[in-house]
Amino acid sequence: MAVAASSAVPANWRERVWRWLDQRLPSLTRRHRHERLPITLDRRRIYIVPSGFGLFFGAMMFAILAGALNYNNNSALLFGLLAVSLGAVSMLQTFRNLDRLSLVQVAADPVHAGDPVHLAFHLRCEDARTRFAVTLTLAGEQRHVEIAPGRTTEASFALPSGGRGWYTPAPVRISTTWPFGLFHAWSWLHSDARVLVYPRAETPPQPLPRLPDPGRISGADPGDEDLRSLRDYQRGDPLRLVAWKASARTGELLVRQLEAPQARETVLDFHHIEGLEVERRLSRMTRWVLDAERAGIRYRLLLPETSLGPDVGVAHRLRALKALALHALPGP
Amino acid sequence: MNDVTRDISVLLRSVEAQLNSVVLGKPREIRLALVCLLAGGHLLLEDLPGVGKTTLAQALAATFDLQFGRVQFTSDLLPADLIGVSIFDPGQRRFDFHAGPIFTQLLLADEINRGTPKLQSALLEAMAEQQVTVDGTSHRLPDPFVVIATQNPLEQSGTFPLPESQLDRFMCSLRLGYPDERAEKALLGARERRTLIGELKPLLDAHGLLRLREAAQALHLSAAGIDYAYALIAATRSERRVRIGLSPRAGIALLRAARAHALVAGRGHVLPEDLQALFVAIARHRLVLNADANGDGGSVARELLAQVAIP
Amino acid sequence: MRSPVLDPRQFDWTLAAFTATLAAHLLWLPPWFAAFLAGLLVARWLQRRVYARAWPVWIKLPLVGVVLTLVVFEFGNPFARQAGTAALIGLCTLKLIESERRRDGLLIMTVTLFLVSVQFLFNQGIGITLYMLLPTLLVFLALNEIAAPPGTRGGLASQIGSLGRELLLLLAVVLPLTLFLFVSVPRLSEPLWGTRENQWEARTGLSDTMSPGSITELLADDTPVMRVRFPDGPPARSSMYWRGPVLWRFDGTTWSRAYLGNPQMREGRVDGPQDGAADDLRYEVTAEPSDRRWMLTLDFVTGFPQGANRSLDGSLVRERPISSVYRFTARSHPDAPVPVERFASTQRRFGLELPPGLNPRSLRLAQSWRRELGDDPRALVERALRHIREGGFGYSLSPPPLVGAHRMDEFLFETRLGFCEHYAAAFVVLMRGAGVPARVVTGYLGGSYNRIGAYWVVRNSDAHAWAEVLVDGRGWVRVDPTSAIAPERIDQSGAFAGGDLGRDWEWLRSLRERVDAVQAWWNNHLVRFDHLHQQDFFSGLGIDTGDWKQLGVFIAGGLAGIGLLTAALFWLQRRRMPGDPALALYRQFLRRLRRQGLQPGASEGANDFGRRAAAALPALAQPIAEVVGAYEAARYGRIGDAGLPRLRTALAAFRNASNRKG
Repeated sequence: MAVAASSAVPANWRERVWRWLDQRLPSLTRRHRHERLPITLDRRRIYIVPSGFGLFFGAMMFAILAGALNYNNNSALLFGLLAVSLGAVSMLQTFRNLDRLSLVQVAADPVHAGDPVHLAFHLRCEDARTRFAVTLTLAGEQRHVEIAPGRTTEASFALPSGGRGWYTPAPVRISTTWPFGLFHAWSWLHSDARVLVYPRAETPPQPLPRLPDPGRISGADPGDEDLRSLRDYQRGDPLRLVAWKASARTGELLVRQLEAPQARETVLDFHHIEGLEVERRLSRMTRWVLDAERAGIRYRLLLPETSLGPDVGVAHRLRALKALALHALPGP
Repeated sequence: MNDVTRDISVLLRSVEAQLNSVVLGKPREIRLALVCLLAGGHLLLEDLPGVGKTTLAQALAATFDLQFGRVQFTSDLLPADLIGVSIFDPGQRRFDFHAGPIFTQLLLADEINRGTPKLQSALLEAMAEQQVTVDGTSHRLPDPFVVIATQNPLEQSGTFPLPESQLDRFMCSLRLGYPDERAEKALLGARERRTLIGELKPLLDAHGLLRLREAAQALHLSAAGIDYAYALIAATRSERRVRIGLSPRAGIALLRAARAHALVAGRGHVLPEDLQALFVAIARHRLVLNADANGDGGSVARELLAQVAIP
Repeated sequence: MRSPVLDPRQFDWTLAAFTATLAAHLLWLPPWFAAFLAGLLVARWLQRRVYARAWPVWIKLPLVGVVLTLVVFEFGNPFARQAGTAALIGLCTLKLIESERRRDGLLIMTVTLFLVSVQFLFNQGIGITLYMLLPTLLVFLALNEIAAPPGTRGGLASQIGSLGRELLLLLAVVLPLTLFLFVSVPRLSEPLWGTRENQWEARTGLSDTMSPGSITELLADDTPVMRVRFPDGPPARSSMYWRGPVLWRFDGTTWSRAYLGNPQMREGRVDGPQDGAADDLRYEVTAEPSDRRWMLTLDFVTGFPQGANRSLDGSLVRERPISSVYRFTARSHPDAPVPVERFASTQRRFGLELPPGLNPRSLRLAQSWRRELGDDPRALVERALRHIREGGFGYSLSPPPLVGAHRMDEFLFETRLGFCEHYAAAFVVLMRGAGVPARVVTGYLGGSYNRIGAYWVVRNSDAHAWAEVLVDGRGWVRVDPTSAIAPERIDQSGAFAGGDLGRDWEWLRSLRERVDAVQAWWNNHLVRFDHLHQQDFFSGLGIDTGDWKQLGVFIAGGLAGIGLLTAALFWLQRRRMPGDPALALYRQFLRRLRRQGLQPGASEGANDFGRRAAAALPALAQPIAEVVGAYEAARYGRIGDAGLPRLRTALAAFRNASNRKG
């Protein structure tokens, strides 16, 4: 099933109906509007109807009661009414199974474009009741959870992330038929939570650009560096790294992959990558940021609108990736 | 409180007193360092140079009569320099293992973030497994094996920050900070630290430390205590500013440390106050904040501690 | 989308609920049929433990055939009540055999609820009714499990042991609601669709035959049969013989009516509606539904309404069964013999018939009287009554059973212990043996006077059997041989005699009476809560059931009351925090300190707060430290709840100290 928010054409009639309801009866569907976390469910936003089984059960109860009344069989009537009462009160229980339940957090780690977004919905109830058999539905997938009092319970979904930038999850439907499956109660959770999707990290990786080393004569033969391996040529590789002899032997253009020297600092400059479209540039820079972090090399990130660093470490990396993710995108 | 607990309590009082006589004005930090030692964890000291990190490590080693080793991490230090190497002995026609400085009971890894990532991960693996493997042969590290690593704050240049997954190997992280005015004046007026440490007399030995560790883990932790610990950990996971909350391993570390803290406090059971005393030290280096969050792990942990109600 | 597979827990709950319901039907199901079904269920359970899969079609289809064949073979007409129920139970068992999906489980549980209510067509006793709570509860627990999505649990079943809050709350609301609905659901005064005689409900009451034990069953039943008003004053209690079926035929064991199948007698049955003589005794009868056609009247009935006929043997018969409360007015000529109007010779012949070759000793005794006294019926009756009075006979409601072929011989010469059915039967046999036409009459004797309602209530426990002998020129004259042995049975009608129980068994009798009283209460208040009872109940509350407005207000008020109760319970539950006794005591301590303006922070531990409080209230430092220490030991220490007494003591000391200070 497609994610409703992003697909232009509704996937099926159900989606069409919901879309229509969103437009006509926003207060009923509550799918239209982002809300700040925590969202606590209350009676104004929990809807409840008999389930299919509930209708069948009701018909059977009606038959039992009618028979009992007709034959003036009071014991059968009593038990029929007991079942009806249990069913009727179960409507309250079903409602209460969602009532005062809170979505306290939508936790999601930033991901790279193309990787699935892992969304963890943290549910919590502060009163003394356990919420049994609660179902969350998102993008056609269901997760079932039981929420113990005072404990945070998560339900996780993995969704396709789409392109870089902010990813906003579609509304989640939270529902339950507890305790007897006779009634179906549901509500919509449309939090303002969003996930940052970083640009895809380029593969295969390109070597980090190096600053000219002051201790080394520029243009010296790079052959004295430790040769690690050869790989296919990619656009943007410096010509001096092409392994001509090996290329001639194999017929394909190969470049030398060098052991990263003990470079202490580098500059990752958007403008210095030439001949590539914007997205691929961002993708390459993303790879560089990751590689620089792994190697512990300090780096400066230069984008048309920002400049970060030089620095290294978790905080710097996160800032850098965020800048790359949001480059040239409209504000939040 | 039974007699054994009382005896242990008296003993630990004198240990604390001795440590406080060397490292001045830092009773809370000393107690946390002691707790970390008694809980069998490794300690991370994050501070500027010259605030007494080394002194504290040496004083601990002296007091517990532990074999002390010190390694200054630099970018040109190789893993083999730390762990040791196998050298072919042509006379015997076999490889001999020459143990590195890591083979000691208390290792002070000074300025760990100046070491290369390879060196760091060699040390952290040794910490996790209490053994090192060279050329396919495992060598067991002594027992107890405690690492006290010091780390300069990230802002300093020429450092390799520790990866967050590895930071989890340290049970507690502390910041000593500058001593207060009175303590600093006392420090200035007092004799050379080195001399003082040389004069410290061992109050316990390695065997005694292991016994104390066992005693600590035997202390009672009630369901109510576990509930509170869980509430604290859960709070880090649902906090908006936090990207990565505390792991289950961190939870276990919190409970181990809380037991040790109760032992130091001379109690037979763990109180919420024990958990509160430790929470920041356990959480600070483990919490990874969101890019746009203000403050650091320590400040967030302190705020959470104030917010989460004791169940 | 296919319904998910039943997991083992869900399947077991379903099976348990169905089996518990099946067990209730064992009371009437033939044992071999029940054993067959039970075998199938056990096989299914074992099979599913190993391998969760439906049974193949080549097993299922023949089984369906077998079950239906068995039902038809045992019960005949498959559309009758018993056959229909048995077939439903059988098919439901087979459905369970192929049930792998949750949808099947839900269907079976719904049908099981239907089977629970069908059970009450067979038996409405208080014991079985209480038992039926078990399958009902199991059905809902099974629904609870089945309705939980895959990978989750319903949770209610896990609460049974610990009296879970959700479960208790559910019942606390459901029980009042059920009772309220039970009282308020309007009962039908006439059924909407047909209830043929004895079709659905096996009511206790007089039957067409009298075999050993048939009256005993009635005697233990306190259900009212009818209520009677005498506008002109009641007759003597000793002449309140309420006439029911007259039994002629005796096969050695059972007495039955004679003219069934005898065209002569059937044609001669009719006497149309009559007014009766003006000076005859007039009375109004309100008969409870009996699903039978007997209209019980006093002898000899002379006036009766449209739709009723007086049969040739003097009983009043309605054209349709009395299936709901029926009221009529009748007149009787008290204590008059039943005249022989037609078919005198047939009546005489039937009145002398005896099973050939049976009871030789009794016949010899009767013939000896005949030789001695001639053919004067009065003298022979007197002789027989004297024999009963002086022959060492005793009255007992639980006499030794008569087992041989010559039962009357056995009774008259060996056991000599019995009650009305024995004495009436033996007396008639003796009379016939002596050549006097005689017959057994069954019905009720007496009744109890209800001073509040100023009416007489005749109950099943007033059931009685007596004899009539044919006296030429007068007709059938009533003789009650039981009066010869137990006159109090006649005079103190309604008393439950049971005189054979000694002093040692007093407790047993009192227990039996109590159980009987509970059953009677149950019958009167629940089983018999019908249209009229409901009217009575509402008029007791000052509500006229005919007035829809009043009734509406009552029902709305009641539902609102239950709603309020529900809201209150939910509200209480919302406020309740997870219970820890030490924490509850500590909260008392906190409340006390709050009055002094001291309040702990959200995350302030007892130790820290205690120190702060002690600093603020130095006078109370000692008691505060003690409370805090005790609380921490009880809540966090190894001692646990065993430390609660110390905490209570400390708390009391703290209260005292703070009171002194305050």
